Amino acid sequence: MAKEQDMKSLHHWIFEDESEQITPEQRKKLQNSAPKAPDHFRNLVQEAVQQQMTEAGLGGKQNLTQRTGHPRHNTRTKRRKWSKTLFVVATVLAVGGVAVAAATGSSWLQQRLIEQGVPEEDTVVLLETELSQQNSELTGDVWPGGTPEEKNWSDPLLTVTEAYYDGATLYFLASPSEEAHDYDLSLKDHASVNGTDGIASLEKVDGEAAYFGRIDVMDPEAAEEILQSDEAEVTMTVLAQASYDGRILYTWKDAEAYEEIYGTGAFTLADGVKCYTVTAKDYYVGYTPHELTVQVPLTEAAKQVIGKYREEGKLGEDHAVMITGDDQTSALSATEEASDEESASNEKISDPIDTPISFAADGSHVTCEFSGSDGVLCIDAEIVQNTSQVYIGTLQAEAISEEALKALYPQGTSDNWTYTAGDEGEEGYWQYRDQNIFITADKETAHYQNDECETAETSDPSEEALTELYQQALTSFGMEGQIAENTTMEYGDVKEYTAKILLNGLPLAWYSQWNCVSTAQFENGQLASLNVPGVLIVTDQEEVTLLPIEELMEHVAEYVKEGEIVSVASSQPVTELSLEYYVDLTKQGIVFRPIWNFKVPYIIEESEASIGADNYLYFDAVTGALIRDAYGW
Amino acid sequence: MTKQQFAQLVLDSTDCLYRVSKGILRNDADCEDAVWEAIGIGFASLDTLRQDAYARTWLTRILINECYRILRQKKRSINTVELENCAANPSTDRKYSELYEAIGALDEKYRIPIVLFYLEGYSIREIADILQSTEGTVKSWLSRGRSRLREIMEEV
Repeated sequence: MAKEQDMKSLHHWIFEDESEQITPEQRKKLQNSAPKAPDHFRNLVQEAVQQQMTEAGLGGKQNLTQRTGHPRHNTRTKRRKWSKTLFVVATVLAVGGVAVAAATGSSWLQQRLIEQGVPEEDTVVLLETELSQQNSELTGDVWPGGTPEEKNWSDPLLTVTEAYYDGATLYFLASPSEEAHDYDLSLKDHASVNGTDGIASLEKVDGEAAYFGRIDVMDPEAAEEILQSDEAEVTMTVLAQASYDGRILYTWKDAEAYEEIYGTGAFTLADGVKCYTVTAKDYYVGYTPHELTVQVPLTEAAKQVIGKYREEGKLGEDHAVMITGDDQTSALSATEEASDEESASNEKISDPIDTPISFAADGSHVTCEFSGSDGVLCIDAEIVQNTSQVYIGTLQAEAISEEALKALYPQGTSDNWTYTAGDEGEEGYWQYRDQNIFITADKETAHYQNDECETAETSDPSEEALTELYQQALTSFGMEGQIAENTTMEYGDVKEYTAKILLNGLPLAWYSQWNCVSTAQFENGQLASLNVPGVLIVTDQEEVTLLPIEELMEHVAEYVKEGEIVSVASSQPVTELSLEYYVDLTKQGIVFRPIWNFKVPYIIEESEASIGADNYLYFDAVTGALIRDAYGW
Repeated sequence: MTKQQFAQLVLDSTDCLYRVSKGILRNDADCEDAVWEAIGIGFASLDTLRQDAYARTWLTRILINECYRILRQKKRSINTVELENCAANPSTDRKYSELYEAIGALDEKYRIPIVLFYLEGYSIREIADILQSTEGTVKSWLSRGRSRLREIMEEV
């Protein structure tokens, strides 16, 4: 049922959700609908890693785990054809205590804590495995959906094997009984810890015969009281429901399945899955639940560990409780915190420009700060403006000629190039006879790839020489570019460069709706690959007057105040204001206009919540309007 | 980043490595070749990784380069009919969800960004870095890719 609902949700997202973004939940569903790495692939990755570690002299020391839903065993029976090294059997990888323990599930919580940055020795103090537990089966009308079907379980549905309380949430790992393997287990959403209400959740540990549970104590004062006590006693209701095994479950929400089933009795999907019905009652109401009570001792040593790591943010990542001082603890609810922030923010909103705009004497630097409901925008930026003569206008794109691209391989002769047409919707390509040199080109982009550089005689040219080589290539296409080395993605002997194409002396903005950037890779001193946009030719343009920076900033302040800028700039100041041209695709064709690019240092955010957040700020340099792109991002 | 940390990152990224390579190459054996080479290059070049935070993006970039290198080698060595069997096309390989198969039916230039953004959670900026393109272009691919995905799903 879960999978069916996941697919419905994804269908809704594809067909009806106007947003281009995807939530973490939707991503998880999408990942669940896609294949996981098969065992042979997983084993190969382990082998490859093991070989590298062995060669580095780290073969026997690593404590690496592969988080997987698959058993760890080596199914490969033969040596890979391109490897000269005997493979070390993959199981060597699992010698670490954590890896072995992960297979049995007994130290899964420990691994989780280590991932949060808690040292292993402290996780041992924190985790309690000496737990006492009582179970009782619940009968009668214990669920709003009705009375569960009676089922006599031979053993308790869950046995809690390890647990810890971090001052706000009680976490536990539990093993299902043999019988429970055939059912989906969950928790009633409310549970109690020392008599205080908490929000409960339970999830199956991927690939393990174990469940991970958490009870969040919502009242921070009560959460703190629990921490001061000798024991946390948690009482929760464990529910068992029919496992979804690929069948379509008839529910009152699923009219289509209802009609299909009652029209045909049973039916077979295109992929051969036989579908029939399980009553909704069985699924939603489930079978006799268990009330499970667990006593978790709270030792002084554990409390010290909790105190230490909560301060460092390694525990209680999403908790309401904050600790201040050495031994003193104070509780501050998330609501209070938010309220404080809100009031502070409101105070700032009344005066959106928090610090006055100031300029360097020569006008090359600007400093100011604006506040709004989504945070603070700090600007401490150099102003980079190559020219004050700016235009708006229209452009025409032209493909780079094949001849010009072929000329990038100077050793070549024209009759050695052969063309292979692409399948429908796919690009065709030119290849230099018997060599790995390829060219594809259309109006939007052209690509030159020369894999022969890989085996070319090694040389170590200067950066200036490579930049010159790159500039020459662009010049041969009638382009000029602002070239810079891009070290972020470089690896091995490959040198990588990017070039912002210039128009009327100003760079074209990266976030333009038309591809305006070129990239090049050099290997052994030769041009290994080149991506270049089609040539843009100005067909019409008129000069415009730039908005003074002070007036531009008033527009910016207003956008910040209105909360229309969801900005990573909250944590990073804008360090450069660069005058560029934005190239847009409109009904009138390809148009360009001057914009101010508010550059914020780019930092890769690990948090899923940050995915898709704005990481650029463009303002129209004539009107001061925030640039919103055509794709709704 | 230490080799130990990189090794753990590789192992943690196994599913991602599979899905990304499968987005370009059809045969599991080719995917294995690509990932094997990518891991080797990653370890050998680890000292050239400038910032630890880029490690996952960097590894994915290496893998994609290796996938395309294999694809180009196939172009050189075999005829077009065989080539069709090298490119990703999950619909005739093994049965996955309707949606995943629709993603597999997308043109390659839309498929890879869709996989990286929606499935693997890379940001637009990271995808631009990986695919040597611009954020604007990546967004355009994603937008067109999703429109095409709708069409494919409707056809089904």
